[in-house]
Amino acid sequence: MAELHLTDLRKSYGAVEVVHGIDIHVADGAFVVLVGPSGCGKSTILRMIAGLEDITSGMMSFDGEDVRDLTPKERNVAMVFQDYALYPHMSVAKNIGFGLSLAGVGRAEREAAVLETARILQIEQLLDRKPRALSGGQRQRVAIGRAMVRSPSVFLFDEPLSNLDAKLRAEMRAQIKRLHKQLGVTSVYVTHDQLEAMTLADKIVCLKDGYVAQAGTPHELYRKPRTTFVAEFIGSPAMNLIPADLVQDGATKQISIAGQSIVAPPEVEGRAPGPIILGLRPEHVSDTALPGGQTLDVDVDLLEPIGSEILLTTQLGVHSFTIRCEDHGQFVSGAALKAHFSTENLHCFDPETGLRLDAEAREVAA
Amino acid sequence: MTEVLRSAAMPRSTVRRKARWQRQAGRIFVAAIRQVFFLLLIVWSLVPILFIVISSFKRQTEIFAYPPSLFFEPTLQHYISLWTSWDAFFPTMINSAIISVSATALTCVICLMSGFVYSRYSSAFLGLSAVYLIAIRLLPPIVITLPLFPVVNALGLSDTHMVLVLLYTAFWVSICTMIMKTFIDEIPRSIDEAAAVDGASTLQLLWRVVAPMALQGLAACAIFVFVFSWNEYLFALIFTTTDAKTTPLIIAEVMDTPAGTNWGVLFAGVTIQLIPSTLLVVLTQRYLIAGLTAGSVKG
Amino acid sequence: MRTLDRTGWALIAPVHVLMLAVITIPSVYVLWLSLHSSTFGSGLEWVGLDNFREVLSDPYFWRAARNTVLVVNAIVYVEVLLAIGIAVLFMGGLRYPKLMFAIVLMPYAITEVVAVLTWKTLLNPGTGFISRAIEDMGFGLINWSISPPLALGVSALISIWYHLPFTFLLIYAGMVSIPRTVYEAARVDGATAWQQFWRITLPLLVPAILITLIFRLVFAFRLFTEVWLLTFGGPARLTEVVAIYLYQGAFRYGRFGEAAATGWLMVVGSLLIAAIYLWFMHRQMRGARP
Repeated sequence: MAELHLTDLRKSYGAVEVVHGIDIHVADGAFVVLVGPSGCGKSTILRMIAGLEDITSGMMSFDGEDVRDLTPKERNVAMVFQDYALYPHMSVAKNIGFGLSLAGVGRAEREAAVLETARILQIEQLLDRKPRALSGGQRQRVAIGRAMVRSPSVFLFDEPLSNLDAKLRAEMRAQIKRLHKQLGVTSVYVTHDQLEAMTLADKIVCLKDGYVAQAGTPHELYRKPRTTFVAEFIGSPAMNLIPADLVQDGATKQISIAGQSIVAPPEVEGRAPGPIILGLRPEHVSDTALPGGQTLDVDVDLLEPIGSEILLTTQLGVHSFTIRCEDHGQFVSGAALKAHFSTENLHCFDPETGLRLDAEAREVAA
Repeated sequence: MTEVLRSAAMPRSTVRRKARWQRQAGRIFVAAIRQVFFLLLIVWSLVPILFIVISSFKRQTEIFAYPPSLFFEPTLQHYISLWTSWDAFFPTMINSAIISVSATALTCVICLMSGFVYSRYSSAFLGLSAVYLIAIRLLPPIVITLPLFPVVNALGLSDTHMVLVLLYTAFWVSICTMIMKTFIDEIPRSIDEAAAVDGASTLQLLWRVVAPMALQGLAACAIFVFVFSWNEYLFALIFTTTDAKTTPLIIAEVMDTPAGTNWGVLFAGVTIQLIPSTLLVVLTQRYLIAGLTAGSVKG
Repeated sequence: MRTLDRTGWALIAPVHVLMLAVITIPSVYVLWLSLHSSTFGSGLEWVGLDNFREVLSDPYFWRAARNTVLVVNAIVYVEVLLAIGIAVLFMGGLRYPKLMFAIVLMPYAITEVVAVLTWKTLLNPGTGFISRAIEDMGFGLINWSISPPLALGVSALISIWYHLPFTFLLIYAGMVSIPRTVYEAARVDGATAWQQFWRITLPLLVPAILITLIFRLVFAFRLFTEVWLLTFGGPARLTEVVAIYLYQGAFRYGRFGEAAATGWLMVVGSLLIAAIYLWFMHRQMRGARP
């Protein structure tokens, strides 16, 4: 078990800095997910935690101890790789027990530990097989087993589910969550999939271009995204972000959008009239009236049924506007529609910085 | 965590640590050792060749001076003598050139065709003959000189370019077919199908679509055959005497003359002989490596 | 996948015709020849297995065979070890990869004749600077021209020097195919560089090593130029190897029948070796199955 502190961590390759002074705190036993698009630096940060990459500058500590000079072995971390990285010439049992064998753990103890781990992951029947005789999901569980058996202080996951198909991914996600509940080891998990982040994390650190865009619980990132990037990244389908204008109408502020006027949410308090970006999630829009809600007039364009719900691509003036609501076969392409929503579900962002209007401008610490 | 796992765990504090300076020192030490080995490798590979090349520019008396000097006044006298007095030398280079280029061209054309068939067709014959093509490499070449020697004489092909071209090509054609097959395998079948839909015949497909896409394989084969032909000794020794004599042969003859060897001139000749093949290898090493990996996969 | 049509046959005709004419038929003929006595390939007279008897009872043949086996073993193992060493060196990172590869490949680009020439000159007992340097260092005079074991040793050295690029590339290709993440997993599991080499690199390299060994053994068996141009098999035929024995028998003494017999013994010898190693490999692969 360990508490991680990354302070002002930077990484450069030659003259190019790819991770810019990030701060991350991982509480003991927490499951923290680093999420972001390709190239945002999440894997680099993970590898720095593992000790596979050198830290260019900044501090890193486990339980208050400076680990920057320690090798991976000395940090007592375990890692699950994206391509599993199983030892092809060793059986599953040997794969799992390799770390223990290197450390000189006695055979009896080692075999017991391996068996126990295999039991927990339900792979005891595979112990004598070689990796090439296993399916993707089985290999993934062996990789997890190899990490688990050493009882590390920190589990590191590098996009472990990317190579699995959708159904397996859902299964493995649940298994990882269950394991974390059972073992309670501090975990840092890297993925580009926001769904994995949302379902698995105690805390999400959303990264972009080597900076922390926002850090917080899944709920916080969903409810109050700090930037347009986070707003679009979290949640599927992505939040609608539409240019609009903030106008002063007597004592109140209104938002003028596509020629229509709606009441602004409280966060515009203190903001001068001018252009803004308005955000509204597709799932927060309905075709039926909501108590205390507002409406916008849109024109239905495309219909994409997804079972009990439907995705509507509509036109709001010149902008595309997505709606997700219940499907009773009531929609028709080309028809006009009144879109209902609550004011509290509106988000307002600054068009230049992309920051939420009530957010602080400084870079955030995770 | 379960008890069993916990007992096998290694608490961090008991693992032996190295101080930062120890780590740095270790790294520098390893780096130094590596540099030493790299240096040894370079010396090992280059010194023999460099000795000859550099000596060809030294005055006769300096060549065998001991200890050998790296600083000297270069002279071109050996090269001039090579041109003016060693009449037999340059004709052998022309022979070598003709033979090497011909063998290379012939092999490439033949193997493009056969590699294509082995890649795109299937039949029992192809399966079996593929094994044969690889297995035949186990036969020592010297063995077939015995039956071929009288035949070549009878056909009047002794001491001609033709005999070596045919022999060299025959020697390489089996492995080059497999190399080409491996490279052509990489070209997706859907390209063949698109060409067929576009109206291409098999031959047109081969020459206009597959060949340009398999250039890497052809390059590898060309390098192997050229370097081999340019440098080959045994067959040249047995089958040529004067007219089609290749350069390796004449170098061997001269180096063997007791006492009277003009080392400077010999070294100059050797230097000139090694330029084409060395340049080729250095400039195209990428293809060589690719070809070798492809060939060894098949092996 | 097509079945062979007229075009297909036409396209593979050149390969097979050439191989048939130059290799297949002659090899079969050699078997035939070995059962006859012949002068330079003509004047065949049936002698049955006499040629084989002659060769197998000739002490010079057995000396050649012994020399060949000794030299070939020395060559192959030293070469493979060196190749692994260089490959490990290269895997650790190269500052100028193109240059280093070019340098390693150089010996391959020159002719065997020149390879022998350079080492012969450098190691010439009286004048070569390497042999004189060795003498100065106190190791004594290396006079391989009068010492057969030394001469064979020098031949082995030349052969190793000449063929190392090839062997190195085969081993290197094998090493490079090991995914990097496997090494990272090992590091995280706590393996030192040494442990990584012994427990990951080497085991995974075994197939490549075996293939290289087989190739190299079969090719080394045919050793000719390195010995021929150094000593011509002398002094007094003491440094002959099997290929030279064959060559002398055929082209100096004109006894083609016996030479053919020798040739077939050579083939059998190299096939035997290849078979032994293949058997090892087969067992290795088999043993991998649970």
